[in-house]
Amino acid sequence: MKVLLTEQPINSSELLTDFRLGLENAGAIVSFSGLVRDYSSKSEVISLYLQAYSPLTENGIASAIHKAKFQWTLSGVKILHRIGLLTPGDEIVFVATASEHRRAAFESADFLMDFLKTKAIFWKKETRTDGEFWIEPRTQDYEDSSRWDTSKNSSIIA
Amino acid sequence: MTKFHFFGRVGDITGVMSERMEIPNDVKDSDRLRRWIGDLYASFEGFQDETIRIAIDGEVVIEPCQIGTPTEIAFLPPVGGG
Repeated sequence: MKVLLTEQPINSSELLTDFRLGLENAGAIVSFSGLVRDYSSKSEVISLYLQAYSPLTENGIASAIHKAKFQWTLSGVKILHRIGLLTPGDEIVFVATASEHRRAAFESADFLMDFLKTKAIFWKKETRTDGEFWIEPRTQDYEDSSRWDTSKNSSIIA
Repeated sequence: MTKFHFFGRVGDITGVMSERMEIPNDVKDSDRLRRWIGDLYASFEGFQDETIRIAIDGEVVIEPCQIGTPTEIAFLPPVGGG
């Protein structure tokens, strides 16, 4: 399990190659790269600033990875998340999961991204052409995340 | 002295991200802590916002609670990365 926060640019291609080299018994790899958008609903985005609270941030993500490994049989998980100042087009997050078959890799990557969007300890401030705004999860983000509530969806632990 | 962290939009209220302060003797629980900090930064309502969680010495607490003699207190508005 690897959880890293970095102020340096993320290179998903290199990360994916490294991730693959470290795997054993994997038949499927799913990776997700999140990018900083250059627009919001109202105006153009100039930059995005991310704060974290170490070690709570890393511990929270590690806990989510632990849950993912409990619910799906995974041969590897890697998460790298940017902090600090980013600009549009920068990669903000890299998530990769590997498993014997594709479904577990798809679902666990989706679960981890929903966790990162709504529960991971980060704060995001957008600097836009119309001012500075702290960005909090949208209703849709919370709804997406609630899909993994095991009391509502027992199939994910089957 | 206790180190206070003010993350996200809470930092906009205080104007600083962190500060070391002595907690007054009569501030013994989380409710009183919110009132004291709110008064200190002239934003009583801002610190009553229940979406802002409190972490004491690295643990997010369930309120109301006693605060003890912490090394570090953080105010955490709603989070989200990705």
